[in-house]
Amino acid sequence: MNFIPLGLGDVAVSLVLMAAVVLLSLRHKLGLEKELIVGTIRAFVQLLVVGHVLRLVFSLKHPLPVIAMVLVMMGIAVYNGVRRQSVRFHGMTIAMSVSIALVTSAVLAIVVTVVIKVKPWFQPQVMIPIAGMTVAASMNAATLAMNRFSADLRLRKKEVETALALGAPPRVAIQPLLKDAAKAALIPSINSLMIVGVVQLPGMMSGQILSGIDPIQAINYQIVVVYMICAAGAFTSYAILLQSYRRFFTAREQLRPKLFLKEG
Amino acid sequence: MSDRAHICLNNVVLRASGNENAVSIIHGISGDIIRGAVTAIIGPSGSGKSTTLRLMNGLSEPDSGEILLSGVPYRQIPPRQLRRRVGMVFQEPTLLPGTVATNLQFPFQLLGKIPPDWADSARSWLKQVNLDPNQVWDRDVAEFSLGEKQRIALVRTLLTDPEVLLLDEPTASLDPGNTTFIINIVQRWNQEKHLTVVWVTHTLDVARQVADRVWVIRGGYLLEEGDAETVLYHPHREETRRFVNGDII
Repeated sequence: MNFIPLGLGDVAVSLVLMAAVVLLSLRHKLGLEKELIVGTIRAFVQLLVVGHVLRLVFSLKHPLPVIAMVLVMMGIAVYNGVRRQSVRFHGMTIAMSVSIALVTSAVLAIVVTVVIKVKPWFQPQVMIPIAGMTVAASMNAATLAMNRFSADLRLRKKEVETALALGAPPRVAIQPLLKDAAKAALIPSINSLMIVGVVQLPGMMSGQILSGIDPIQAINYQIVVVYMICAAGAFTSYAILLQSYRRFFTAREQLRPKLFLKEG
Repeated sequence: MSDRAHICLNNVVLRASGNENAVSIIHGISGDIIRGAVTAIIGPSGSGKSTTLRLMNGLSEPDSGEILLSGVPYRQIPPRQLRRRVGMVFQEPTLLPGTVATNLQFPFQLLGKIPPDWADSARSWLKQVNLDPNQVWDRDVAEFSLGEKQRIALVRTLLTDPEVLLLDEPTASLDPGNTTFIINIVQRWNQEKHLTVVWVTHTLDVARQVADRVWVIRGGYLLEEGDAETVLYHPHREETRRFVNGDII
């Protein structure tokens, strides 16, 4: 099947679907009409802008705009990741930045140069979507891991101090909390692995099939992406946890009296 | 500092969140924990008793002043070594998930090398706290009562071979039978092994039964310290007298 292009007029027709949702909200007094309308307009405008930016970046055929886009994605991911934390602690933004940047770069490098073997390596049609998915996976895992770790630290402080009181180093005392936080971050990826293709047809694969790519090729890419997302999430959660836990201890290996800068 | 001091506190101050402008919760406490004695720290709830114990175990750091262990400032003793020498048992026993054996092996794992006779040592201690090692060794700790868990926690701390044993209200949540048992066994260890014991309690009856010496803490101040007979029955200070008579809660 050949790729079927869509014009703005065709896209505008799909507004009918959103209009139906707004009517549903009005009919059943859900009170969400304003959010739905704003969301519809924002999605339309944001995606349109992104589309034009991507077209420009693709036309430049240069690594710098591609790298700039990837850095912007990472920056937005760090900002959102930090904002979604219910607590703040010293060095949180740095830990989030280093974790997302390192893991995304490593995973990108492996997937783009070793698995897909793109030439040139910065080809935006491959780099940007892959980077986007990796950064999103990293951000989600980092957020989940840190939220779980922060919550556990407040609830399980006694457990940590009991281990410290027996002469345990901070890393040993905090190990059960690190493990539970890492597991919490990894479970959504594992669930995805279990249901992909059976319960859920992922967006990337669907998009490729819609654009006329052979389903087997689409599936091959999807498998790579699913593994890449799992790896990015796992390593980012560990990276951020291992960087962060030290900040809760003093030089004399005590839990800091005030664990968090901001709680809420 | 007395020659007989095992732990010495010199004008120790602790502020609420560690900054200079914060409210003090421990106000310049100076006193000696005498080697080989059982010292009870008594006082109303929220007076700073447990905080003082935490300072002695090195879980909290004084904002000013100094704590010494056998004459050596705490700051010169590596924290892990300090906490093995000054062991602490908390009011609520926190055991690792797993079996009794897992919990009792933990202090040895922290040394980096597990001695081949660790299990013999652990089993011997379990017998001393009236837990049959053959019955309990491989049992999950979740199956035990609070009193039994507290005994396991005691054994676990003693396996680090501490010079000083800090007890933060170890019997507050226990029934009278378990309370009496813990009092008796700690007194026995104190006498047989010359273990220095610091026992925080808000229950004067426990202090009367167990203490050789008493510290009275109120509002973060050390009101009075001395031998138990004097402090509990003939205190020098009016505030101490009111507390031991039950006039201050």
